[in-house]
Amino acid sequence: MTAILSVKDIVKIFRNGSEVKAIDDVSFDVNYDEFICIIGPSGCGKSTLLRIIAGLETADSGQVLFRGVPITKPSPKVTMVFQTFGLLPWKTAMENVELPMEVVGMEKAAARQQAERYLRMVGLGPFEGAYPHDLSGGMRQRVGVARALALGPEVLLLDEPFSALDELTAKSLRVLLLQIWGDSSLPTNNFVMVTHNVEEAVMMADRIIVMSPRPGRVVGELKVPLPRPRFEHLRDPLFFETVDKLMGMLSSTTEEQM
Amino acid sequence: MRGLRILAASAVLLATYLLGSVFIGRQAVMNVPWYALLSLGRVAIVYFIALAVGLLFGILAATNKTAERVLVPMFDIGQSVPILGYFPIVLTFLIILFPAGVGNQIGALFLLFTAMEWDIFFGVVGAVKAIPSSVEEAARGYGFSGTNYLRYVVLPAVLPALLSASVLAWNDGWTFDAASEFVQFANSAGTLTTYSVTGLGSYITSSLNAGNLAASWFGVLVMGEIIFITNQIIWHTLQNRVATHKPLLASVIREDFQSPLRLRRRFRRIFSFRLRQSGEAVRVRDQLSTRAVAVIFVAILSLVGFLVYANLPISAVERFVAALTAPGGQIRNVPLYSLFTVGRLLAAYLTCVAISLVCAVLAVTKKNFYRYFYPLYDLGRSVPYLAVFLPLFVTLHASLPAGISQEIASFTLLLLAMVWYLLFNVVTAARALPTELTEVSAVFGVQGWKRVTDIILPAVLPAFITGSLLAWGGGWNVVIYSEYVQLAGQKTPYILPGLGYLLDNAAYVLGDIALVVFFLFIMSGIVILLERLVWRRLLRRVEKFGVEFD
Repeated sequence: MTAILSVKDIVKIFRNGSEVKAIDDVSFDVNYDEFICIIGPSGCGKSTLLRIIAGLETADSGQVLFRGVPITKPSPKVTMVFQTFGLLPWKTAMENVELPMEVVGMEKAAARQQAERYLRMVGLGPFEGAYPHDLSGGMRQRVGVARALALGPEVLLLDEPFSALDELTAKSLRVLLLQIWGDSSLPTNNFVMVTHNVEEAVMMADRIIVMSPRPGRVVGELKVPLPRPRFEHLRDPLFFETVDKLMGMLSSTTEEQM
Repeated sequence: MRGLRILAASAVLLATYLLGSVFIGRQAVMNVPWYALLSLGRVAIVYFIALAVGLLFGILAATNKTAERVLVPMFDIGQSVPILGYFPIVLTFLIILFPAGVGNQIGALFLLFTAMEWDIFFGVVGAVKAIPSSVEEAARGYGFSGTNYLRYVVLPAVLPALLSASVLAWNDGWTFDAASEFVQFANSAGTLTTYSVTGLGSYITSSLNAGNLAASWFGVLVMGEIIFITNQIIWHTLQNRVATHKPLLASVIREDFQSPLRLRRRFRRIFSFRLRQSGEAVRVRDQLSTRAVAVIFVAILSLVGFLVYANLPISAVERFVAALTAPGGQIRNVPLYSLFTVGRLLAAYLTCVAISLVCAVLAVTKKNFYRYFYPLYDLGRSVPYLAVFLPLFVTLHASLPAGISQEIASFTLLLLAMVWYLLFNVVTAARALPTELTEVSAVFGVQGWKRVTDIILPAVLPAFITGSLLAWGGGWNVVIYSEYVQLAGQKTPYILPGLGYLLDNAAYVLGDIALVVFFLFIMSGIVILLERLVWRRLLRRVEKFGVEFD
């Protein structure tokens, strides 16, 4: 068994008066220590797919296996970073990070220590007492990352985590996330990220799953041949070739629809 | 669809009338349709006046800094001072100025106007100020100015807020109709005086005078039906139209893909829009300085007091000293009676808090909640609580002592006056809880009681405080009404010890304007103090913890 996560034949239908097929028979594996990106045009169901993996939504058919066991509800082993951060505005950065640990019944002092450690890791040590309202967008997402990692999950799901941020901030957060992913002293080494940014996918992923517009299907898969650390190779011809290739795969699937 | 609803409404009204003729008697209900039309006409006329005034001054205040500095504090005072508190003084004033009959007609219109105006004015100001600067700049860039800007930008932008405010104003107008049409008191010799304006409200009260309790309840029923029907046929239709055809302004409201019922989404759109409006309106009111409010407040009341004095035969100073020392004036009772009144409000408020918080939790946790909530809300909001008060009191008094009956009726009145503000704000906030926060609590396993204390309650807190502010305002308006009841054939009035009793007693029984102004000062002082020191301060504190709705 090389896959930590197996997405098998997922079908999702939205019923809202009429029936709309959002995801049509999607399957792929996430191997141990792999960074996967799911890319596709808006409305291809990629965020819904991520929510099915998180156990937030149920598929109409098919299943997601985590270490061979079907996921039916959210678990501390698979956590999520949200597009617009999902921080509780009435809790400080520290309290936001502590909350999931409190819920699983961790000792208060231990939770605090763990939260401090992860807030320092994302560079927010001095801001632990600040409320989300007083933090910039980039800092808020850092809190979101710290919160998702503090439980020590094995899989981290990222739902367009940089799309609400400006490009400069996004850049530094991408580097941070790659560092965390590559840090083998941390338990979290499997990342599944949803994005619609081609360069971002090439920069970060080992493997990219390409989806078609609604109903979302897997129309291709691309292994990124670029060596790591990636930010040293962003000027390589190979980077641009890969971006072009991915671009081609995406535009062929969108044109098919028209 | 709409024709069908009008048909159904007519059928209901006709059936009510026929049942009334059978069970209450043809004679007693014969004139009710006519009375209803008179009240409807009065409410409608005053609504259009309030609309015109609100639009004119609202747009002026929102677009002109100087106008804002003058108008907003003025209107803020208007809405801060309990309407029914200054009704006696206004009525006395008008009856001195005009011949009998004309004076109380104008008084009734004035009371309705003050019941309706504030929502409309602050709704307009809030909406104009909420026009995004990009829209404003685009309009300027394309050379819109003056009437064009007004016609193509301001009016469409104001429309949704105007409709929301209109619903509130319309309901408030009907509620105050009962109080505006009928004022009755007896002087110390026991001589009964009645200022009555023909209409549904006075029918409800004069039926009680005539000892016909059933007829009185019948009047309440008809009034409730008219409110409900006009809400359904006029306002909801208009709101739906505006909510669907103004995507620019509705864009902040999230489309809800998961919601299976179109009805629910429709409600949600309207309601979350209204929520932002009421927040916006409170914020506008919050911008002005306390000092400006105090100065204008004192100036207006002094002017009114002075004008009234000028019409009195005895010199002002003598009157004032006499009033403050008169045994009937009951100055010494002010602190204790103020506490009683506040206590009455507090009891009703705490009940409202319990109801609304339970509903907030249900709104988040139970999928079906809205299917029952919104129809019930619409129905409940249609109850003309001021009209209910007297028949309820008389009904209870048939089997209970007067004091207890009056307390229960007063509590019910306050509950009905206060609960909707809280329910509406809190439930809407719970409904508008971003999907992401719901997902966060699911991903990280925040469930059960922890979900209530850590997610749901903090999420509705700002809306809860806004609702509380509005509820207390609404409560003060009506508590006065419940503390003094004078029915025909009753030598002394039924009273509850409180500020409202002192006020009504001073105005009607003692006829002492100095004392009325004094009590009015005390009451307004408490109202403004509570609002500024408690609610607005809390609101500012929690504002940054509010969830973003877009």
